[in-house]
Amino acid sequence: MKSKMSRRAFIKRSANVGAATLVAGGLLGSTSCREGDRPVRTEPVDRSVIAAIRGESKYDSTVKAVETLGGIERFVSRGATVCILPNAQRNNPGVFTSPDIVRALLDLCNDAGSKGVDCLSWLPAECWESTGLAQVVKDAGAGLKLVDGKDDSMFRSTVLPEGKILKEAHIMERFFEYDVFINVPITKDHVGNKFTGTMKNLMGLNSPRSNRTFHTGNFKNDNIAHLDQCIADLNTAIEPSLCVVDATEFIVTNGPFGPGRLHRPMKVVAGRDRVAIDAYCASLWDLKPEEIIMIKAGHEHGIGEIDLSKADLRELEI
Amino acid sequence: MRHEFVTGVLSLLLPVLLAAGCVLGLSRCGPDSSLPPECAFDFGPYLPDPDRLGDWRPAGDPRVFEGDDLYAFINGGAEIYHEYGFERVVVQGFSGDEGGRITLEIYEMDSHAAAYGIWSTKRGSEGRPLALGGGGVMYDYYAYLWKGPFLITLTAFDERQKTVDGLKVIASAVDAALMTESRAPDLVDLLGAEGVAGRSVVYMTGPIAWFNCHRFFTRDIFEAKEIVKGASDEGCVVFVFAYGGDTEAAQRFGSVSGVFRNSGEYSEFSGADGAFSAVDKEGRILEACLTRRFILLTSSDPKSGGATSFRARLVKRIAAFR
Repeated sequence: MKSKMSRRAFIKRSANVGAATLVAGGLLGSTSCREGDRPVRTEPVDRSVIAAIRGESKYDSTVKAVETLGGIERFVSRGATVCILPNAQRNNPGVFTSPDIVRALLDLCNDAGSKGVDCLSWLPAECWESTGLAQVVKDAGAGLKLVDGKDDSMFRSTVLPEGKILKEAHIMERFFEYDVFINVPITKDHVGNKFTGTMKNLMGLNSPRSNRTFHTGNFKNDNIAHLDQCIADLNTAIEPSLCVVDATEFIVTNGPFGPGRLHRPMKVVAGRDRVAIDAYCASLWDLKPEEIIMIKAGHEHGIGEIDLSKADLRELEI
Repeated sequence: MRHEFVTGVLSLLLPVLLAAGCVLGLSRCGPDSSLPPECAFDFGPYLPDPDRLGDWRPAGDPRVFEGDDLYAFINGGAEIYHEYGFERVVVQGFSGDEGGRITLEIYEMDSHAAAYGIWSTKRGSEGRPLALGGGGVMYDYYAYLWKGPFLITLTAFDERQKTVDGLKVIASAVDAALMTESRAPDLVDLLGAEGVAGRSVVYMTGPIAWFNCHRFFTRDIFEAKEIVKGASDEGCVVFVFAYGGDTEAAQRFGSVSGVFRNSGEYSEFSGADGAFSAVDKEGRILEACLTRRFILLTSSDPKSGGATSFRARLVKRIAAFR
């Protein structure tokens, strides 16, 4: 269902949460993709806040989720360039990030006075067109920057000093040009590691050639943790400014491409702590976060908190 | 005059350009230039007869992805297909009179067993049976069929009755088009003969499918050539691990037994003479035994009876198995 909030309505709604924004303003910071080879936090950040908004309108839920975190201005400053990474892999139901969620984020970034917003991807144009995401990008006047995944020169070799298995990533060169990175996955089942969410979505920035090595660990000599650990290692190199997860309707069998059984919590989940967000999303379909090796490995890397009792979870229904 | 000259040149060059584009995969063969060339591929043996499609008609050109090109189609989800033995996938969209859309994917695997295996990982236990091919299952907006070396996936993009009916029409037409019989792996037949519910059976030939199905440990300690899992009516879950020969199975059994014995994940280990038992963290009893080139492992609730007799029957049947 396409549901777009008007700019006027958005401003009105934003004014209503003005007080909350002022309070939250000091808690949340922003990150930059541009400073050196890895993002650098520019303000002290309380990453424990997670907004989980349930509602029929994915657009409104997204806007509310960002408001609950303190407003888009906490993440996107006037004149900033923004990179958005949705999951556009396939047009099967419950497999790709809802266009309404991306539309809401594009509108929020535009309203915040960003200098420009791009969706960045090495997936073919067909994926973006068939999922409806290309149209949303076009409607918002944003850019769709597609990189040839087979062209190694499009990716920057990035050493991962903290990587346990993955010692080097190959991140899209273009990614480093942006001030702000918003990670917008859909949570769903995955045949390789049972679960996908914020951390796994970052494979969308890494080169396909490098990603293939994640999936092809020698299970006899290594172990099933290979894929999960590689993803956690990759996450040591990239820190999103903001994560907004589509947990509205997604497949819980036959992932990542489906078709599979759809689960419909109708939630949009947002925050900065990838581990906590993934732990929360896993719990939406009765997975135990501590049994998802990737989530555990992310916690062990210090990327985030696996214990949801330590999160400032703000669940709302609109 | 100039206009006529240009037109003439173009008319001469056009066939050449079209042919070159076709070879490069840039023209009518696919809607996207990143897709592989497929002009030479004969789709005829795969696609359904248009006369059998009722109100549905092909939308766009069919496409084919072979070998490693599967990554271009289902990047990230391709590994399990390759693990079973993937040859190619043929993809065709269909549209209906009332705007319905359906996508047909025909995955051709390298054997009947491989196709059965990948189908068994996907069919689930909740859908409605579809009496087509070697087996079929239908959910609210999708269907999975197995026929010979083929896994057939049909996906509707809405759940209207007319579209769901279209799924069945296209599934039947595909079933008629693919002229092959269907042979399930022998191990699967073995479990079926002992009353293991067919819908519970998963047949695996590699670690990706195995770990997706069940995890005793984070390492593949069994290293089996084939694995089949199923559930009996008594609530007993059974795993049969097959090896190349008796010696290999015996060596592996010794190793597996040692891992369970020394693991903190399982308690109350007890083992001797080609058998061991242990209790998992949920209180289920694991009992394993070695029978010729097979390791048989059952997991059962201590409160439910029948696991012992079920296992004994299976051991007897395995003893008679080739």
